[in-house]
Amino acid sequence: MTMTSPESGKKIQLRNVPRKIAVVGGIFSVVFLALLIVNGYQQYVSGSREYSDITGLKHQLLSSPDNKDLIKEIRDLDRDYRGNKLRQIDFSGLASLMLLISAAVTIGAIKWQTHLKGISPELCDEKEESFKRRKLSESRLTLVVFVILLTGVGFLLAKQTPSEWVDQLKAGISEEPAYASPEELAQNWNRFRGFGGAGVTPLTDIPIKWDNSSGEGILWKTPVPLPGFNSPVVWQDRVFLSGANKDKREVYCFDAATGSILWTGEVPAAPMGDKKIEVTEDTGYAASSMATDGVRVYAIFATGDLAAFDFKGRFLWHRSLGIPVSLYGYASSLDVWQDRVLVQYDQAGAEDGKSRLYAFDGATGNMVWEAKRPVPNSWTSPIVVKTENGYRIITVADPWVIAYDPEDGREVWRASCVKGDVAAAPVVAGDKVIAVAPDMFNVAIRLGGAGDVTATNIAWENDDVGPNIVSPVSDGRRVFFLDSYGTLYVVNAEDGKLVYEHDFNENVNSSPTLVAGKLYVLSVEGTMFIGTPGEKEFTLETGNPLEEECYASPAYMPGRIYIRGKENLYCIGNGKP
Amino acid sequence: MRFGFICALFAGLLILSLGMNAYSVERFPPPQFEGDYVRPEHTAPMPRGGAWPLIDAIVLAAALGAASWLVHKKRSRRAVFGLMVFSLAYFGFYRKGCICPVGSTQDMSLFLFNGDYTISLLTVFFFIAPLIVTLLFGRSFCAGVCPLGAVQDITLIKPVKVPAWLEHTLRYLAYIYLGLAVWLAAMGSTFVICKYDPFVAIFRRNGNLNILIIGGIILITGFFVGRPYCRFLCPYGVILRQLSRLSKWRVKITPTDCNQCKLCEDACPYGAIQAPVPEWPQTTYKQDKRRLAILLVLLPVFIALGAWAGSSLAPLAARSHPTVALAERIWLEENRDTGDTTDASQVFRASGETIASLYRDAAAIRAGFVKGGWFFGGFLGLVLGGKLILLSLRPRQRDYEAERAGCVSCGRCFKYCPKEQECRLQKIQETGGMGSK
Repeated sequence: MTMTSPESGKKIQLRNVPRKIAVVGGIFSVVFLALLIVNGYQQYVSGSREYSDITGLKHQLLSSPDNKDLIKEIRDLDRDYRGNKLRQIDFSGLASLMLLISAAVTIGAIKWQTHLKGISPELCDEKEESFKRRKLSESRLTLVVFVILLTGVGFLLAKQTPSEWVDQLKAGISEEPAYASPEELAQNWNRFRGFGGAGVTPLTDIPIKWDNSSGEGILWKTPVPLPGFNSPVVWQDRVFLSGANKDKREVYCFDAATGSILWTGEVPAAPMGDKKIEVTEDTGYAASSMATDGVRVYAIFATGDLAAFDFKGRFLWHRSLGIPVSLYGYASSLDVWQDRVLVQYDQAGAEDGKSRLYAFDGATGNMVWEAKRPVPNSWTSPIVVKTENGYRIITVADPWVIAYDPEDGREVWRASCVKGDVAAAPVVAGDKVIAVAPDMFNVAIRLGGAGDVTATNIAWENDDVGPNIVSPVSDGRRVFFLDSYGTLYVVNAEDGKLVYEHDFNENVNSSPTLVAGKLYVLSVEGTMFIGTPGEKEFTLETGNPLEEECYASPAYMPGRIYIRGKENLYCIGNGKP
Repeated sequence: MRFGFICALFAGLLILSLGMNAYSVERFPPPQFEGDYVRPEHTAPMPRGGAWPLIDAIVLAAALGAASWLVHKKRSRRAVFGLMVFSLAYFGFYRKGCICPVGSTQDMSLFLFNGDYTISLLTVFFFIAPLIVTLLFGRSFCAGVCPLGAVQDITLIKPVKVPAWLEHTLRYLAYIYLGLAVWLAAMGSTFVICKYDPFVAIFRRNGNLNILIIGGIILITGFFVGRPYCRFLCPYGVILRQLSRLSKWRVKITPTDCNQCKLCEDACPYGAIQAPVPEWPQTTYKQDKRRLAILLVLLPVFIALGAWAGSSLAPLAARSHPTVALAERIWLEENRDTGDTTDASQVFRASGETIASLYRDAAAIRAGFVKGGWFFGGFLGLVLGGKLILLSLRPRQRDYEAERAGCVSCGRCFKYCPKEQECRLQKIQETGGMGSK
């Protein structure tokens, strides 16, 4: 096909025009394609590098959340990273558009050339009839074979489809609520001082003799990675502790059988900005004991970071309650009620209105309710008590002992009866709840009533004894108070009168436990004094030195005592390790 | 051959480059800090309000009308090609491949089987309009309106003929795809057609890496095999094929008598021209009739076997449902040391819902899949039996004709028909066009 140029008179081969266009279009396509590949490669390589740089810096930030320079560096890098990314995306958008246009031109030109060429008929060298019959026969056969093969592959894949969950459902899956019953809680040591925070266990097989120097009775001893004054909580074969320093917050799950750490959960922290956390050396960053509802474990730290993990160590949720304004550092332990985790979050002054009692949904971390508390910072822990009128959460902080309904956080009653920097947790003694005004007096309030019961429900006050941080324990008839210097005060629960005293001659910070009628007292020096509190005097039966400072309260399980020393977690057990 | 290799290499590199870009976009993390950062525009088109749905409907109706007129009256391949380019530009690149009648099949399915699903009038119109036009004029939608067909038609460079046995076998895939798409959509599981739309990434010049790979493979294949997606995969095409068998007006290759030159058959890249079929030979008549009778008798057996197989495959299909997938995942996390969690399992755990209730919900969904599996398998059994019967029939035919179901009305055969050329020349001479010069 030709045409003649009117100006030069030369003949132009039209057939070659589409070929030339296709070549030019092809070259452009290749160029744009090359640009796209290079751009994609750059995005992949440089993006990965920058992204890992940012990730590394973020990990550093977890360790030092106050590092302003680091935050600025992350922000700058993040901005640059995003800027580069957007530029590269814009470029790839433009390049792919140009590629599309040049590819369209190339394809158009090729099609034009095909059009100019036309087609020529093909000759069939087979006889029509036999050819057609063979085609039909082949088609039928191939189709059937294809369908059979496809079905076979389908069956193979279907056979490999996981169906265990269906089997489990058919076998019957628990419809129980996702939290332990009170009976199950009582069989474990699910919170600070065990079930109900009572510090009492009916177990009769608790060890009474061990020797750290010979190792007798010590089943295992495991160093705890980060420091903390919180007490161990135990659920069946798992022991939970938390530890923290200025930079890190961790939760540990120990295997009760071997003492090995099964998992460590890192608890994140919300950015603190200019706020500083100030804690004393005696409190530290992990003074609050954990709690478990039998399904999940909960931990809170001096930074106000509350977190939940399941028993396999999977991080479930985290809530930042804000940095608490606390004179010595936040130290209240957690409690649970049904599937709710209870947080007594007393801070600042009463007039600041910042103190709260929170109930969070254990599964989701969503706040179920919060109750505003008219109290300043305190270091006590709430307890949940079953009364004739239902469950009540009892809290103590200057000046109020307040009972709340755990269903909705409604305040049921309150009594103005304590003073000072309250640290000891309340304890139930018969029909009364005992509270401690540190270094001043103790008070018993009859459970029940409504509104302000100060005038009606105060059963007695006793200013003969002056415990401060150690929580008391009661066998129902008597209340056992310990001061930090190691003096035991036995007080009649009915009238609050001092019955007798006993001096252990060692400082005590951990709270005592009543074990099948015997009193277990762990001194700061690490000696566990075990004796029987008689009607008129205390009979000391044994003292087991651990040779490590102890501040936390031990946990008691069948045949076992778990003691947190300053650096190690001990498992004391009957028999040899 | 060398040319084909270059094309394939080019397409492969294209997919690689787009894939790298797409991958980079996908792993782009969400912002961590507040600032003046503006998130990039979403790659999927947002729904349009105001008069735009009406405009889309009008454009679709006009394009369908134009395609029918160009194929049946104008008989112009060039004009059909022009319309194809317009549709590709509007429905493909401008509307970014959404909404399209192919995907609307799933909306209709979900709407019919799920009372809670609300469907827009535009979606219904996009689903129905091409069907009505097909009943009247054949596959005009495929000819010049469908952007998926257009992109394949335009990029067809060096067509090769697909052997009949392969053609018939691969066509079965489209029925499987249709059945699967309707099944999964009806169960509220996923819109598999949209999820694996092979060309949407090209229209949007961005997208999921898997889709890019699938699209690239089909695009490369489409350089040499005419409209591979339309012929072997398109689920909407399956419906159009069947309706096209009933169409009132059909595409005629030649305007007058066929001279059996066979040029049209060679020109058709889709294998949609049927050669003349002579009388049934007496030698094989009895054997063929017996085969046909056996297949007719076996048809219910095919349906029953298919239904049973479909129900057996239900657990596999049910995994596409997010609730079933989550139940599997939670079981794994609870009973195996997976060591990690997924976003979905974390959200589930944070929801406070019990595992028992999750398993119950998943089991109910799986039971629904089993029910749907009976219909899915039964449908495929019917199709298999029907295809075998059709492959055993000998409809008498004297001339080369466009296959009613398979012809996409692209108009290529018009251009190559000598009778058509004769008619055009005659018309020109009658109107004094060329003859006067």
